[in-house]
Parts: sequence; C-alpha cells; structure tokens
Amino acid sequence: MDKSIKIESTRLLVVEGKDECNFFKALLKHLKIDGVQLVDIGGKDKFKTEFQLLCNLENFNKIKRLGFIRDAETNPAKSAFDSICGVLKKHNLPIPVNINKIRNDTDPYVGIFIMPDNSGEGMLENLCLKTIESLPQYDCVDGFISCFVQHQPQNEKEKFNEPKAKVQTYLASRSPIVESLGLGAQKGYWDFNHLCLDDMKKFLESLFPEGILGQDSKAELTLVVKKK
Amino acid sequence: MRYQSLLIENFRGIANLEITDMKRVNLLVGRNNCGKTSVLEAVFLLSGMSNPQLPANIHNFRDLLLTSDEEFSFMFINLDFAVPISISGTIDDRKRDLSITPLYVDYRPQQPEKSKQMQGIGKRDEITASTSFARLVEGINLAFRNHQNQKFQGQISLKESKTSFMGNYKEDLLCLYLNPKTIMVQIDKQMEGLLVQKKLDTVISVLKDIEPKVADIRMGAGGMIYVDIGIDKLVPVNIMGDGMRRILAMMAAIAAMKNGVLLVDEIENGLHYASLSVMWKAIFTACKEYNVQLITTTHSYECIEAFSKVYEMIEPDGDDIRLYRIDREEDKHKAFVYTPQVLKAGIEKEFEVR
Repeated sequence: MDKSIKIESTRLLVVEGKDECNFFKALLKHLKIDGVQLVDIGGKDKFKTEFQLLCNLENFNKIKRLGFIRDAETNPAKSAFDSICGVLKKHNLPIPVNINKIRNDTDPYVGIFIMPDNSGEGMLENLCLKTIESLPQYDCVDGFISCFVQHQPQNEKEKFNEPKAKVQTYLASRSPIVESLGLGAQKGYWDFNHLCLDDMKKFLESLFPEGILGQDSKAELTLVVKKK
Repeated sequence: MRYQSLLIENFRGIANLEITDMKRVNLLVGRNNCGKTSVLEAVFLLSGMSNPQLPANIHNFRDLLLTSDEEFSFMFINLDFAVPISISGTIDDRKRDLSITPLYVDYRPQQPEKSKQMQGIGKRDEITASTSFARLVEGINLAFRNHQNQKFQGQISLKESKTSFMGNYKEDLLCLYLNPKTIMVQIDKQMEGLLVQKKLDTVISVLKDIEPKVADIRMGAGGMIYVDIGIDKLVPVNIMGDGMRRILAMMAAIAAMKNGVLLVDEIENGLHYASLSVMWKAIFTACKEYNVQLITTTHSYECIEAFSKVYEMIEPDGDDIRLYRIDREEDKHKAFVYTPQVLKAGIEKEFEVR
C-alpha cells in the first residue's frame, strides 16, 4: 500500500514530530474541526528541506489554509516565528504580520502559533503539564522530579529536560500507560478544556473555520483534482 | 557542454515550462502525459536546431510517420499552427533559441474548365463568400539564433520531399536521443568507438555486476556484438537479457556523446529493480568521465530511489544531479526541483516525489 505523504486536504497544519501529530489530531477532534491534514515537518535544520518537499507536492497550490504550530524551545517565540517566515518568503508564500495573527487577505491564509504562549521559551510539554497542574497527581509528579533532580548524576544535569521528564512520569503513572504525549492526548490524559489552551484553540478555530471551506475539504480537493 | 536552463513555449502540450539549475544528470518524473517526453524532444530540437530533418524524426521516435505537412501540427500547442513554437536554452552560459513556424503557401483554386463554366458557373454552391485564398501548410520553418545573436534558418517540406538550410552555421553540440525503440539502433557503431578508445573493460565490469559470467565482449563482422560468458562459443548480445543490452547501449552512447548531451526516455525500461543501482553507478561514473549531460525520464519509484542512494554513495557531498517533477495543471506546467539533499530527505520521510 502506498503510504507516501501527499496533499489530501485544502487545510494543512504543519507540526513538528509524530507525537505532535497525534496531539493535534486529538485536539482538533475535541474542537470538532474536520478535514485538516496534519503534516510532520522536522525542526531546525530539517525544516527548510522538508518544507521544500511539502511545497513540491502535487496539489500544494490548492491549499487554502496553512497553519504552523511549533515549539519556541530555548529561544523567545519570535525567533521560531522569524525562522518560519524566512522559509515562507523563500517559497513566495504569504507571511503573517505577527505570531498568532492569521494572514487572511491572501491565498492561502497562513497562521503561525509558537508554543507554549507565543512569547517566551518552552514547548508543548509545558502546555500539557499546565492543563493538569490543578490535579492532585501533579504534585506527586512534581515531587518525584524535584527529588530525582537532587540525586541526579552530575553529567546528566546539563541535558535534563524537566518538562519532558514530568510528562513521561505522569504518563507512566496513568492506566493504561502510554509512551508519548500525543497518545496521552488521545486517551484524554490532558485537560483540553483548560484555560491555557484557549489561545491555541482560538488559533485553530480561526484558521480552520466551518463554512465556506466547510467540513469536507478533502472532498473539495478531490473535486479539484478530478477536473485535471 | 551542458544545459543550465531551458524554456519551452507552445510545444506539443506545453504552453510554458521553465527548467532551471540543470546539472550533469537530470531525471524528469511526473504523471503520464505531463510532458516529460516532450521536454526531451524539445531539447533534441534545440540541440540540433540546424538540422531541419529533426521535426520529422521526433515523430518517428513515437512510431508516427508523418505523411503530410499538415501533420506537423502535432508539434504545435492545441494543434494550432498560428501559435509559434519557441524553445530556448542556456548551455555553458551561452544562449540559443529556436522558433518553429509553419510554411504557408497561398492556394488559388483552379479555374473551372470552359465546358464546366458553360454548364454550371454561377450555381449557388460554387460561389465563394471569401476574398482570401486558402492557406496550406507545406512544411515548417526553423529560425534560430546562436549565442552571438546570429540568425539562421532551416526548412523541411514533406510535400517537396526536401530540407533546406540558409546560412553558415556549424553545430558544435553533440546530442543523441534514445528511447526503448531507438536505443539499440546505433549500438554497433558506438561499441566500435569504445573498442577504439580501449574502453571496453569499463563496460565489461558494469555488465559483470549484473551477470557475473560475463568475461569479455567482442565485435564480430557486420557490427554484431558478442559476449563471452565462459562457454565454448561466444553468445550474440541479442540473446542476453533486455536489461543488459540496454545498459550496454547506454554506456556506448555516453562514450559516443563525449562532451555532449544524451537524452533517454524511460531509462528504467526493461531493467529489473535490482539492476537499477548498477545502471546508475555506471551512468554517474561514465557521464563524469566523458563529460556528458544526461536528461532522462522515469515512472519508476525504485529508479528514483536508486538514483538518490547511488549518487549519495559515490558522491556523498555532490550536487551534480537534479530531479524535476513535471506537473501539469490544466494548461500550466511547472518543474519542481529536487536537489540531492531534498530528494534524500523525501525518500527517507516517504514524501511523494513522483
């Protein structure tokens, strides 16, 4: 069976990694947003190369809505935003004026959201953890990691990723155990109704509204392709 | 000599197609009827722009023997003679361009014989409402310019059974077009060339990768090529598998096109997927050795995969190959470019590249 990546919808959400794909698949389902194709494009150095592959795909020019959601990582969000804008410019695609501001006077509409909050450093893990901060189990996870850090071997301190460690600890304590944040999202282990996800949800709802493009953008693309 | 870029306008089904950043080996992919073969034909015409016979030849390659000059319309977009064909390219920073237009003759209907005039002139169905004469196509005109902006002209007329050429132009670009039908046509002469250059050993080593029994190649009388596979008698190459003969023919063609351009349609044709790596290794090596530019087409994913992997193996940091996905949407053509790095990433991450 041909599993190669193709353009299958007029609505595309570009994320970084398979885990993010699973997370946003669950979040879009929660928001009842249909017909969005999720594409995993590598980060940092890989982004330029893999975005070129995406642009080279048949039917890329039929994309009507193009969204990017990425981690700020250890830099301010502006840095990741500028990097994506640079690549968009190279491919003659519309550039949003600001982070979390959808460019809606162009074809396609384009929006960029930098996690966790479109300003500071961080990642999707920070957001997920925030959704469970009020749970009593979170204190257990927090306590475990705090204790562990005190006894951590010196040579592991530098590369220690606390948010990722907390996520793994939390997921390993749930039943059934899942190994990744995205699968955890599909199991309902993160609270999608938490306020901290409001900006992201608004972003997705604005970029992929019901209505003109409708729920069935896959059917729309199929129609366009058949005309060839 | 090698093409750096091409611009094709109003040729066959292509209204406009630009291909840039061309390298030593260029692989064209895309859906059926996207225009891959037409690109090769356009390069062939542009490379041999002083040879007015080529517009007829490119139809022969497609098993289409033109019987009237009207059939040259097959080259024109929407079969419309009114839209001139334009093909241009840059070779080693030198631009050349070719424009193809029909050769018209004004046709004056013969006067009716006197007896006929007496009987029927003035009948309603014989009265013409137009003041113009019928225009008939009696061939095509090939107008071209070289890098010094000098203009030349050639013509072909099937009705007159002649070609003509005006000007003093000497072509210095070698170009050969191979497709599944023509690939074996000149193999005997090309093999002779390899023999004279003492390069048969290279070909033998390539064939050994496919068939370890191959020990030698010999040229017989009348251009027959024989292969020594270790038995009592030599075996005519025609008896060997289609794939082996095709690789042999391509190697011979590359050597014959030294410093020139080789065009190969459906390069994977007749080859088992396991032989594709052998083929690409031989092609990359030979094209570099003979300074030949290859422009070729394929439909096969295995062929694309071998193209990428073999190149990375023999030139890990090289940048002398390109893959172009030719896309046609309604009337618009576009060539999407893949560098070796982008192609490698596409294959690894399973992006569709065909």
